[in-house]
Amino acid sequence: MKRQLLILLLSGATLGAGAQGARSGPRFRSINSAGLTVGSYDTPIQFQTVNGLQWDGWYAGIGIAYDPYRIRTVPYFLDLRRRVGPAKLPFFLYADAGSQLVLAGTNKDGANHRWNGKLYFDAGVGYTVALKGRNAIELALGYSRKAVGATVTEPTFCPGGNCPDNVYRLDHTLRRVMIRAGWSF
Amino acid sequence: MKLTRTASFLALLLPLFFLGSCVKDTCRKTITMKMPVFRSLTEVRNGMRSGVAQPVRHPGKIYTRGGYLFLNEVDKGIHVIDNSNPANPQKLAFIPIPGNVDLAVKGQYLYADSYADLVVFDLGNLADIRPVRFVDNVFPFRSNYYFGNTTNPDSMMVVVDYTLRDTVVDCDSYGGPEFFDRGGAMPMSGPGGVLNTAGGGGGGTGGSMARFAITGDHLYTVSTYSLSTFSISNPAQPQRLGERQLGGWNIETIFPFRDKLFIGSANGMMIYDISVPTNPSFISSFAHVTACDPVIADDRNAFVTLRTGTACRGVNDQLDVLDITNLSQPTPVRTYALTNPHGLAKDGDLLFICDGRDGLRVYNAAQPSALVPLQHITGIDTYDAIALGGTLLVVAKDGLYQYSYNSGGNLVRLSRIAIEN
Repeated sequence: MKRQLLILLLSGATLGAGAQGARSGPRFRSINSAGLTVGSYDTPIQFQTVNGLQWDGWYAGIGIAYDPYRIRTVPYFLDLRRRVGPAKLPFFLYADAGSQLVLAGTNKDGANHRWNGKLYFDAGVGYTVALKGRNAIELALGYSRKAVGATVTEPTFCPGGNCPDNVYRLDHTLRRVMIRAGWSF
Repeated sequence: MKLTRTASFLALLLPLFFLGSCVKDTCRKTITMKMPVFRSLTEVRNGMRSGVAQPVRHPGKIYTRGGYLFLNEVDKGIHVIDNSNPANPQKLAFIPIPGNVDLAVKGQYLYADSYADLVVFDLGNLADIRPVRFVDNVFPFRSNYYFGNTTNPDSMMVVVDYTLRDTVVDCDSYGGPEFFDRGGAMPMSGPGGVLNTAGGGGGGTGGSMARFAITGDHLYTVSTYSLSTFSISNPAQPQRLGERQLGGWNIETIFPFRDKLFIGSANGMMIYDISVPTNPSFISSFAHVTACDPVIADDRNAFVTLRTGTACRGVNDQLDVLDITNLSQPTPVRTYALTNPHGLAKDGDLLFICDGRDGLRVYNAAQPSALVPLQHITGIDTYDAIALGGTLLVVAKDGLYQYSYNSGGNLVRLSRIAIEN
């Protein structure tokens, strides 16, 4: 079933590319959106802005987001989009990949966390509602994954001594469904 | 038409809200397990003889005696260092003592703990330092091999080392999920230490983090809850005279000054009178917020540092100066904000404070209510110091430093023994 869905989407991309008609040069486009990160833990709102160039059915940009899901991070990433399907049904595929800065605190219960933002990934399908001029509303659904590591240092309680700290490493992988709405111009 | 399509699209999205339960977060925790290496108590005791000098890796407390330094390697033993030339200290030997964190010296005898036992070493021949007496199970708060009625040292197993092994476990199955998404937390505090000049008579000089103190013919030791008195009138044959319960104060340090003991705890400072050395008697106490608190004193004042970020769960970084001219009623003089103060030492009017990552601070303390900053050495993470009439020893994260100083508090670095990892 998954394979069939993928083939369908890829076929749509090919058809969509062929249906673009007249070609034009690259132009700047900014996409600013808010979305729900639906995970097993909670459903906070993520904000992101992506700015880049639109060229025919392709779009490439760089983005930055505020992602509070479980461990607050600021992902920064490359964004690639491809319009698919016929002009009357302006769907698009998108993929984001990059890394992230961690905003979470460094102390909890006396343990010091040295954070390490790892891979941020988000990919899915969207739908464009054209408005006046170059304005549009973009709705998207995707799967997002962010990986965050931490080296945790906990002091060892030994009165009067000089005990070495207890050190361990945590590797979090957080998986979410993204439901996003935004405005592009 | 557009709106109809959009509404349809949104309608299709609604069930996706339930997809959150289909995706799972994972957390892996990589722990370095310390697997204990055991030896019988007999083997351990037979091995407590000085050998070749070893690298300094985890320095603990220091004790000085004459031209020698005795530097604790936490839970491993004691480095013997010839410090007759502070500009060029020479490591002479290492005495392996599993479970050692405290030490004191009187005459030619070194007193050291080894987990629950007190061990006496003869320093008569520094090339061949040997134990001459073991006093069993006098520090029961660190007992880990005295179980039941076992007394045969061949069957009592002692942890002498650890081997490290990385193990990956699921966070949820080991210590909770480990997630959080906001800063701010309960700071804890770690160990620290200081040495001071006003150490009691009869031997060398210990630090403000010491848990052993020698005055005259008596050795005093503190556990987390008690004060023990040993007679060392025969230095090679210490006799335990008694133990006094100190209540739930979480005792950390002991500092002797004249015929008084100043005991630092996580909750405050206590003063004991030892004019009758065999029977320490309580004089007074001064309570403060929960924190690690090395304490030193002179005739007029006690100086107490409180710090955050360590195992003592402190919430303040400060120096408290107390007036102790009336020992039965210590009164606060002034509090000074610091960065992360650990140990401290005093020589005359000079006050030296190890301020953790903020280096070493030197004050003129002639007026305790108005300390005058004289020098601030940064770039070292300090936690232990001892002032020896012109030479200052400082234990820092990256080594053991020595400075010369004059009455004006001007410090000049003499040497450094680097810590090797």
